[in-house]
Amino acid sequence: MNRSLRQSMAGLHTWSGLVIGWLLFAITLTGTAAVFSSETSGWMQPEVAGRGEPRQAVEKAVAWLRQAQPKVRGWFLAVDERTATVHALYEDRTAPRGYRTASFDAATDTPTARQTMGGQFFYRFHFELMLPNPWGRMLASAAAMVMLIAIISGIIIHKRIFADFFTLRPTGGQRGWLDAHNVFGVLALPFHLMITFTGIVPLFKTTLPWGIIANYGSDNATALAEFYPSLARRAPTGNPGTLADIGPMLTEAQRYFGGGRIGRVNIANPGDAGSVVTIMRNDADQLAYMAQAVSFDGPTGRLLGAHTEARPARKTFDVLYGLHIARFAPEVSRWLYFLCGLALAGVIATGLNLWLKARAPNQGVGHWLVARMNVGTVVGLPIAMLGFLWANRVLPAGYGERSAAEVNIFFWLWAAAFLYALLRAPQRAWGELASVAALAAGLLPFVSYALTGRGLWQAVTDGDRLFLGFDLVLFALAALCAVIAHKAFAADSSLRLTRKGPAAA
Amino acid sequence: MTAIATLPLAFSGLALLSLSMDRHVRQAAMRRHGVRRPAGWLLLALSLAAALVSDNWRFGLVEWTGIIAAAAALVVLVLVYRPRALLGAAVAGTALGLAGWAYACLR
Repeated sequence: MNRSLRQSMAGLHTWSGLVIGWLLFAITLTGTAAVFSSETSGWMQPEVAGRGEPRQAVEKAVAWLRQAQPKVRGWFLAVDERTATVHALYEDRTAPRGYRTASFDAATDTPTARQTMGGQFFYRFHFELMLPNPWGRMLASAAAMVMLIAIISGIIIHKRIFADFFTLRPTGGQRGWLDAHNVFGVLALPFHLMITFTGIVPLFKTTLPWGIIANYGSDNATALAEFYPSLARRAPTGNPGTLADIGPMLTEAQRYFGGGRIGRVNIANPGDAGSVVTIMRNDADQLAYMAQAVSFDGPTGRLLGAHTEARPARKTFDVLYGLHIARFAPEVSRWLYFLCGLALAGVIATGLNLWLKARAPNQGVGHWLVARMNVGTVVGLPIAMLGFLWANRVLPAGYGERSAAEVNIFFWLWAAAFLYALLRAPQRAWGELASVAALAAGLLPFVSYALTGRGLWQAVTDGDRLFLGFDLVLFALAALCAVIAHKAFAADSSLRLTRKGPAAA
Repeated sequence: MTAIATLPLAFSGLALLSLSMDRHVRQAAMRRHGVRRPAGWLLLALSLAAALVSDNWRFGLVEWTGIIAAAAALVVLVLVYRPRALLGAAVAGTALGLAGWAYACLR
């Protein structure tokens, strides 16, 4: 082959980017939304006021679980410091996904909040695409690996990466789109490389299992015990037992954490004499994921063991994982993750558009398909995501299996937008669908207020900051979509002018 | 918290670095000046220093990599819409950044 390195890399960049671009856009956008999954969950359960101390919420949750779910094999409590809410997960064979969640704040005695996946939906979609294990994760992981190839090949072919660093010429032509693609990519390049690499790493058990198989064979139990010594496992005795008071265990755990915050409380076999309570430190306290844990004997509250992960290989993994899920991040950093995530979505969207711009239009099936898939994904997905939020408000709080219904509505809306994009001329579909997205985002705060009584105004009168942030972001999104719609309509009408002459306008 | 120091300093550093490039000096209708490149790097280094001396240097370092992306984006926006204001903005940013650092230290 006589092709230079740059030529080969250009081909690799173009085709790797195109083939996984749509899937990656979906993964990136939902992942970006997942930065604020705490607030999204809080918004989607407006019945939970989210006031008071998280610790009290834990005690309320355990108190309710004792009398409502005494026989299940485990209670898994996740403490969300940001919304002062505890989400308790427990097995329920009648549920579509095999488990249910109940949300508590310091004032909740009986959980009445509407059933919803909340922000966890965007998170789960992001890494497993709501496909059965392991296929979703493998697909997402493969896409991320191809993304790494696309980023690195992109760096290699970018001739004047330093000279072009600050260059943005918004002319509307191909040059302008390339500038935008480069600016989004280069300015946040450390983030893009970090997030892609750290996104591949946590799924190593699925994608690179051979090291585990070589060392442990099929003995998953030993492997798990050695990876996570803090998840002390003890077989149930078969005899009934009563769980001791959780309060002293929480205090003891926080003492071990040096005043750190509670992150997770797992109670195995609560109704059994051999129950175990494992309390894990909040991921917000350090970079590493799941850094410290303490275990207690359930019926007596006696300390069983405590673990601080210090092994270099595991610690490296935990930090890489922690960097990706960003639970450590204080406020400013979270917004930076969010903005950089949007920039990455921008890289992908501008890249997909560039593929079209670099080729003459109306040239065969490829161009026809790519143009329509671009609209269907880049605007269709936000419409689906907004629809998910709308469904949360519009479906009554007591509606049966509403959690699954919200997810179904997400997929139905995306399919509808995709179908519309396939049938409509792309130039017009861009403007029309972007207008739908703008309306959906802009009207949602008002609809939400009408249906829940919590909104922007309460933020001013009651200091309800959760809704303040959420509603403002929705308005910003509406403005962004409106600008995109406006530019799309303007481009479309100028295109029709040049094609058919001024009389056609 | 340290963003009050790191963001303005990074913005000013990156602004000066951009103004040490021919393409952007022309955009800003200014003349070249040799001091801008070393001054730009110095301000970037100061921005990093402010991040590292904060309460938690690990969190500070991670935040800083995002801060320079945000600061660079701001420089790009100024170059697109108000290129002639960039040098003034860089000076203001330096003052703001140093004041912010002092404020963060005193707290």
